[in-house]
Order: sequence, then C-alpha cells, then structure tokens
Amino acid sequence: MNTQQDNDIQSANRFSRAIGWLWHLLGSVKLAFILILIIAAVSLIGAFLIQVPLETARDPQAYAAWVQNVATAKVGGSASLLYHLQLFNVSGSLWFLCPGVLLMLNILICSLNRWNSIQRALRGGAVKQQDSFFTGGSADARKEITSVPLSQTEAAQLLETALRRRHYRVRVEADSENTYIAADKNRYFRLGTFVSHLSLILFVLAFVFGGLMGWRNTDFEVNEGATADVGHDTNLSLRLDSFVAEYYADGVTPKDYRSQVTLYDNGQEVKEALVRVNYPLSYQGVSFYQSSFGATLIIQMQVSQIDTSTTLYEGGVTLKSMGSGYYVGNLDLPDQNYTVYVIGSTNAMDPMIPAESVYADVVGGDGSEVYDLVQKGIPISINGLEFTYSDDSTSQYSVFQVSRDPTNMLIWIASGLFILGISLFFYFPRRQVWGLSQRQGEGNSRLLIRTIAPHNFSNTSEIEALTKDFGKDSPVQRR
Amino acid sequence: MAGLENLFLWLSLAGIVVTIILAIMEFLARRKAMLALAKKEPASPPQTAAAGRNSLGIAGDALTILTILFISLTLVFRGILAGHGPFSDMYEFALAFAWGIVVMGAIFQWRYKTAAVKNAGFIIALLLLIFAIVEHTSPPPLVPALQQSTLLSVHVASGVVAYGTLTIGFGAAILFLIQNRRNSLWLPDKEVLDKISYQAVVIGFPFLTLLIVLGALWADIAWGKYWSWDPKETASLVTWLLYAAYLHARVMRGWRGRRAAILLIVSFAAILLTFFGNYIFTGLHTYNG
Ligand code: HEM
Repeated sequence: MNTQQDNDIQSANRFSRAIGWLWHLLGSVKLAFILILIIAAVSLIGAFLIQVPLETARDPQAYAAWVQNVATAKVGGSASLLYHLQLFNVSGSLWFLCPGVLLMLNILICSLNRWNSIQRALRGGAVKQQDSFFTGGSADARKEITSVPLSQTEAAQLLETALRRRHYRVRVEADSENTYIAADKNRYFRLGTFVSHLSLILFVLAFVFGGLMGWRNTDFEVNEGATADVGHDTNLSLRLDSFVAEYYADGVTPKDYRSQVTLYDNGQEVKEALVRVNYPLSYQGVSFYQSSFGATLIIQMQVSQIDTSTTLYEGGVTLKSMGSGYYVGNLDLPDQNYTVYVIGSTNAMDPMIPAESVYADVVGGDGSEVYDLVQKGIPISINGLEFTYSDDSTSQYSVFQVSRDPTNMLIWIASGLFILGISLFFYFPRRQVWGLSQRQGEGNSRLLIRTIAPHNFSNTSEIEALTKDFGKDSPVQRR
Repeated sequence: MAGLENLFLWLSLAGIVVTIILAIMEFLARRKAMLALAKKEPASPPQTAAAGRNSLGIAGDALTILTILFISLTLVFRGILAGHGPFSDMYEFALAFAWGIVVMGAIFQWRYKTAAVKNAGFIIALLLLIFAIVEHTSPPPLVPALQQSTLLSVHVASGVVAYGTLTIGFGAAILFLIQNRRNSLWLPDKEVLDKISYQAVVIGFPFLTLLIVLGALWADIAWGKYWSWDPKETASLVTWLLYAAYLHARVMRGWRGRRAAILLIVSFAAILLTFFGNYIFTGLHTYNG
C-alpha cells in the first residue's frame, strides 16, 4: 500500500520534472538560436534550388509532371530524390514547417516566462540598495564622489535634478544618514521585444490563415467588351470596357497598361475603375490587380480533308498574342490524326507573315510536318488538308490576378508592430541608475552612483554624462 | 546632367581610393613611430591607436567628407536625369549602397572615435563603386511595376541605412578577428570592435526588417502577392534570420567575441548574396526582376 503510494508520488515527480525540463527547453534562447539557424539553412536551399510554383505544388499530378519535365531538365537524375526530400517545395516541406512550428511555440513560452521579469522592470527595482551594490559591478558602471561639500539631502537633490534633466523617473527614500535614489528611463520600451516576439506569432497566424481562408486566381482573363465571372465564393463579374497599352520608344518595354472596368455584384453595377499596375481595384475584400495583357485574332476558317472531301472544321480559330509579336493558337480537329498550329503576326508590315495571312503548321499522325502560308480568300492544301481563310477580327484582352486575402491587413499590422517594438527597444534602451548619498560629518557627504544598462549596451557614456551634469551645479571634488 | 553625374562618379571613386591610401599611410606612419618609440624606451607604456591623430588622419577625415559629398552629388544628378530615386537598376543600387557605407562609417567614426572600422567599410564601398562604374548605363525606362516612386524610394532608403550599418558591423567583425589574434596597437581594442559590431546590428536590424516589409508591401500592391518565395526574397529572409540569430547569440552565454564575429561575417555574406541575387540566381531559375 505504502510503496504503491510512493511509486505514485515518484512517477508524478518524474512526470512533473520532465514537463519542467521540456518547458525550460522550449523557452530557451539557445533553442531559438538553433531553430532560426535551421530555418535559415533550409530557406537557403530554397533560394538556390529551383522551386515548384505554389499552384502546381497543390496538384499532385501537375507536380509530378513538373518534376518530370521542368525539374529534371535543370537538375537531371537527382530530381526524383530531391522531390522525395521535399526540396523542390522548401517552404511547404517538413524541414521548414517543423522548426517553424517549434519556433512559434518557443516564442510563446519564452514570452510567458519573461512576463514576470518585464513586470519587475516596469515597476523598477527597490529604491534602497545595500552599500555593496554600489561597490560591485564593473568599474565603468559605478562612480564614487567623496567629500561633496553639501548635506546628504542637498547632494541627493543635485543628483535628482541631473537625472530629471536627462529624463529619468526618480524615486527617493531617506533615513537620517542616507538618501537613496532609484531612477530609470524608457522602462516601457522594455515591452518592445515582448511586442515584437508576439507580433511574429500574429504574423505567422495571419500568413497561414490568409492562405487557408483566401483564394487566388492568377490568370483571370477578360476580353475587351466582354464580361467574365469571378467565381469562387462571390457573385462578382467584371466587364472590361476598354484597354490601353503604351510602349516606350524602343517599342518593346511597356510604359503603361490600364484597364477600364466595371464591376457587377449579382448583376448590379457596383464600381467603375481604372485598373493599372500598382493601382488595384478592391471591393469587399476581393482585389483585382492588373497582371498582363494580350491581343486576340479570330480567324474564320474552314478545314477539309482532301482525300475524303469531308469538312473537319468550320468556324473561328482563336489566336493569342502576349507581347511576343505573334499570334499563336491551335486548331483542335475531331480527327485525332492531325495537330494544327496557326501563327499570325501582330505587325502588319511583317515580311514573313503579311497582313491577312497566317501560317498553318500541320502535323500528321505519321509524324510528317508541313507548313505554309494561308492567305485570305485563297484555298490552299497543306499536308492533306485544305484551308480556307474567310474573315478575321481582332480584340484586346486583359489579365488580372484576383484574390481574396482576409488577413492581409493583419500582416501589415504585425509587421509594423514588430518594427515598432524592436525600434523602441533598441533606440531607447532602458537605463537604470541608483544613487546613495551618505552623510559624512556636518555639511559633507559621499555620493555613490551605480548604473545598469541592457545587455551589450555601454554604461560609460551615461555615467560620464551624468557626473558631468552633476558637477555643473555644484563645486564638488571628484576622485 | 549625365556629364555631371559621370564627373562626380569618378570623383567619388577618386575620393574613396585616396582616403584608403591615406589610411594606409597613416597606419604605416603610426607603426613606424611606435616601433621607434619602443626601441628608444622599451619600458614605456605603449600608446594606443586612439591616442592623438596625425595630419594624415585629419586629411583622411576631410576626404571622407568630400567623398560623401561626391557620392551624394552623383546620386542627385542621377536622380535629376532619371526623374526618380535610385531604384531602377544595379548601378543605382550599388551607388546608394556605397553611399550608405561611407555615411555610416563616418557616423561610427565620430561616435567611437576610431577611423579603422570606417576604413574597412571603405574597401567594400570601393568594390561597389567599381561594380557601379562597370554597370553604368543611362537610366532605363521604368516598367509599370517600378512606377511607384515614393514606396520604392523609402524601400531603397531603408536598404541604404541597413546595408550601410551592417557593412560597418562586418568591417568591425573582421578587424575583431584580426585583433583577436594579434592585438595590434594600431587597431582599436577588441572590446571596442566587439561593441561596434553589435551596435551596428542594433541600428541596422530594424531597417533591415523595414526593407523587407516595404518590399513585400510593394509586391502586394504591384502584383497582389506580398510574398512569392522567389530566390531574391528567400535570400533576404535568410539574411534577416541570420541577423536575428546573431542578436539572440549575444543574449546567450559565451557568444561574444570570436564566435559572434564569425556569425556576423556569414550574415554579411548573405547580404551580398541577396544584393547580387539577380546575377547569382539567373542560372538556376527563371528569374525576372
Ligand atoms: C524568428 C524569430 C525571432 C525573432 C525575429 C526575434 C527577434 C528578436 C530581436 C530583434 C531581439 C532584440 C535583440 C536583443 O535584445 O539584443 C530579440 C531578443 C530576445 N529574444 Fe527573440 N526573436 C525571435 C525568436 C525568439 C524566441 C523563439 C525566443 C525564445 C526563447 C526569443 C527570446 C529572446 C530573448 C530572451 C531576447 C532578449 C530580450 C531582452 O533582452 O529583453 N526570441 N529577439
């Protein structure tokens, strides 16, 4: 019975000791240091090694195809290994996420542990300190002024004045022989690192939840004059009223491109706007960013098979240009035996592809490939097919990135808090000064000063400035 | 404007080169004087480098101020020519970076009463200026994403302060490692160097953070995505993490001095990696920007 109880107590002890140890580990700066270095090292791999686009990474099949085609071309045979090690998607890999989660836990526990010491800092230490406190510490953190030709209260008052001039908060306590002074400044800025560390957690939460709750369409295309549905969880649709692209004198570098749009919610017009790069349109948390643009050429075409004289296709063929100088499109024929690429020029003066003509490139099922120029109104046979080009029309289209990121604002708030917190902490370091003015006979006293500066900050300049200030108002001898 | 820009660009280079030459001459003169003194009075306490400045040192200070003026004017005339702040190409970045180093070097010299760290920084500034001269072209046309002058100017300005101070921190770390082995009399005390390197990070780190946040803000406005893990962004994250690690190392026991200095040198290498990322990552990635 007794031993049973003993065992229980023992195991409970062991358990609480293990918890204590774990808590200590998870709150330690050393762990933070190691985790930060691990995350840095893993990120570095992500900077050097080709990374899969995030959209592709979400779709296992697309990802596999990407590894096959894109990654293998870059890194060769090791692609498969690197894929299994998750190194093509470092930011989503366990190498990154595990230390990341641990670091957040680390910050949380560390902040909790530090709360007491911060509260103590806010209160300030005891005013009365032992004599030994004033003679301890490093030499640059203390000062002794003997034989001040003033009473101990007057000497203390001088020190108080000097401290107040330097914006210290001063507390005084006295007995018949001694006057004690405790002063500090910037104590609230001690909260700076606290705020910064917690804002990192806020940042990471906003980052994660923004990704989970939001959505993004990187390729929302609208033709000029047309209206397209935004989809996702919205009833929004966007009409592209007009589109303009301007170029610099070199004719290649875009100078400006802008879309005049109208936004509809449930079919009701809610907004008209000019969307340009750097000037997105936002409506109820959904934002439209100008991303790219292009032109469309629609060719009315008839294609028939020569040997059977059957019509394989009749109608519009859509060719697109995205700034390369050429319209490109392909023609899906019901007969799987043919693949037809159609190429037109955006430049009416093009020597290769004159106006009102396109190239058709016909790849037959047997692998034969023949191409030729198809001119408007002149039927031509290419690789067993006959092409008739009857009419054409051109239009512009604009591509938007559309996204909803409900935590976007939080990201900026957290970032701002982080910078504010460390700036206050670093640029306005908390300083503490203690003074002890001791009576040494009639009208004479001894003054002891001791300062404490934060880690790695120097005491020297502060204590020098203080004693200089002190001397300003009194004829004191210094030793 | 282009002519004036060019003139001051070369004057800046000359200013930096002559400042470095003067620093070397001062160093040699001081060394000689001290060796002579040691021979005459072997028992006398050695003078430290901080004690007294000779005329070479004063000329070096004057030239430092002149160099700041020259680089400033280069930036001003470039700005007038381009019509915006220095944010459109590597030439402009390098010029601004060099400006940051030289200015921060002067400030640290004034604050810590030693020119050694500034002179170390000048060597980096010299390399950057040579790079700038090689890369020098007329202002490129601004693609629409770059037509966000206010935000980008503040972005580059915080980069200038951050990189400038952190380069001084790097210089101090290098000198610390030298001092740690030889304890030369003509270099500052290693404790001073340790302190300078830490202070540089204290000043630089908030600006480094601001630099990255403003970059993300710009990406958000221009492309609708504040972070896309492109190599240059990732490299900037690595840099930031390394400096954060350094700051924590300083809170831990046994991490002042040599180990901290080595970490600081590695962190500075990450800055260079980020800065020259456009060149380094192109071979590996389809990198645009
Ligand atoms: C990426 C994550 C982190 C960042 C960016 C960060 C940032 C900072 C910064 C800028 C400082 C000020 C440096 C100084 O006092 O010299 C600091 C201090 C500190 N950090 Fe962190 N920190 C991170 C994670 C952590 C974690 C996980 C812990 C918990 C162990 C921690 C504990 C501390 C402590 C104890 C200080 C000293 C604060 C003081 O002296 O009042 N940090 N941190």
